[in-house]
Amino acid sequence: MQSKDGASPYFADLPPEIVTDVCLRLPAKSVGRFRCVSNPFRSMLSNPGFVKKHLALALRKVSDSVHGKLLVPSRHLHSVDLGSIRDGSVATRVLAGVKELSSYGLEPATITWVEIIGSSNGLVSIYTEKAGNFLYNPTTGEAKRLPDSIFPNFIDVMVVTSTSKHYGFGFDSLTDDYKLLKFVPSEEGFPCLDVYSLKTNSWNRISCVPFKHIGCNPGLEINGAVHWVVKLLKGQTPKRDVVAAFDLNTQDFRFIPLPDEAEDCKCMKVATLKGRLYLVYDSIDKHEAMWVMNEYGVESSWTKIQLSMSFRSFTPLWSAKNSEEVLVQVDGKFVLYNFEFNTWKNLEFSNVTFRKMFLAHTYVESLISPNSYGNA
Amino acid sequence: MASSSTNKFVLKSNDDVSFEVTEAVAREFQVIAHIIDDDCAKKAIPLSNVTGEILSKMIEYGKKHIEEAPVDEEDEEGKKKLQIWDEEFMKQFNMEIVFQLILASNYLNNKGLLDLTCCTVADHIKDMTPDEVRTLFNVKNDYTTEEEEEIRKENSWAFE
Repeated sequence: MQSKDGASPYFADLPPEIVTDVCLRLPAKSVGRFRCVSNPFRSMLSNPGFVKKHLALALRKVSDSVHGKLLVPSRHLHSVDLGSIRDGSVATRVLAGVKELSSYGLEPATITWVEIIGSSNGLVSIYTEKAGNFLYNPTTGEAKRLPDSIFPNFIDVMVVTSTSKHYGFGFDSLTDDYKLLKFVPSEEGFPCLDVYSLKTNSWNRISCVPFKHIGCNPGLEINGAVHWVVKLLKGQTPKRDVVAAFDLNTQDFRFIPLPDEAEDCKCMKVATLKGRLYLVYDSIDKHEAMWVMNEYGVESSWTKIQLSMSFRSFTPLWSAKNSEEVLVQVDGKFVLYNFEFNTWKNLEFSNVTFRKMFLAHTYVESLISPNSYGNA
Repeated sequence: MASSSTNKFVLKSNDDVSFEVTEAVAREFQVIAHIIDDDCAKKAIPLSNVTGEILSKMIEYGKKHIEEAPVDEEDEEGKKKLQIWDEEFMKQFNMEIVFQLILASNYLNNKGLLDLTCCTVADHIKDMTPDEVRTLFNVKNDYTTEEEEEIRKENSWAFE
């Protein structure tokens, strides 16, 4: 059925809306390549509506192992293809598809390290020591350097901005906006929260939150809110250690009490897996347990999970659909932990050694452009 | 009125092949569901754009998705089973048949099958070069040399 010029008559006859339907299901990289086909292809594939629908379909497949992507920050960012996990020796599995990413708007020489604040809806919020905050698309390599908050810092700038732990990042699906959150200590001891909106490219200040932000980790997004483990100020509730959830849309806080057994919140942080909220240790002491909140927001649904390994920090990162095996970052290293049998395998990288490694995040391959977002 | 599991309809292809299906299977195709609702389905329902070969495959798909429908949103195992069946189902077709299935599922409005067939085509073309895409879809390269250089540079990340 091939015509003499090589075209397949049947494909050449597809109605334009079906060609679009097919292209929506392509990997982001193929879309980038197909923009070079012709002017009509470029306008179809660069249209903001197309980019949004493409992301929505990519999010649907996020737990398929072939589409899983991990971003590992060290001195540079490395992208890891989770479909490339192979068997190694008996207790080890090997990750082959590791790629160093270089272009996030900075000269490599100026970077000493980079941390990830969060990853949401196809964009990643990164923090660099010397150049501050960026929104970054690891797939297209496009980065946007964020403006500094115009609101005053009350305390020495170096103290409040030197690590990523004061930040949180998420996507507000009701306003289609990416938001970066930053705690700013104030003179009274009540921190303020500054909120950056990508759509308006500007900051807003929410003053006086009723707690001390004491965690050592950036906030974590789940269910449209960003979560931190915090200590409430005296006299508020019987339980003072809570998970504070900042609703990205209403911009209000709600508080979820910690399980009774996990009262000392200084060494705890939140994590997420398969849409559930987890409470995990991140401390100098070794631990062997964590908690899962089976029903979001319901205190009585906290359930303790006893683990067969001892660790200082245990962060679940990703699990393939219908698999009991979960990718976990344990004390800086990676393991595949099987929650059904309580066994684990070490995960090694076949061709890279990371000197200093911060917490890795998964991301979705998207075409979202941080520089032209909201202007279209 | 008979229940949808016993109520039968006859679907007739454009090359005069007739298929008797339950109402539930017929309703898998939005266009046919509308015909049934409008009470225009007393006799055989003629489908002028679909051949018997394609219609039989679509009915096979529709039946499977009725019989093995996941219990609810949480039924991950059921979804996985159906997904594996979908993958196997598509493996038997060459691209020309896939192309006909796309057009027919678009015409009869079955979102699941349209999604599945579009995914199959996307998988088939995803590693192609711009030139191969032009040939496949019979598209003319209307860029000037300068424009093409510019757009290649802009999307250089996609050629790594």
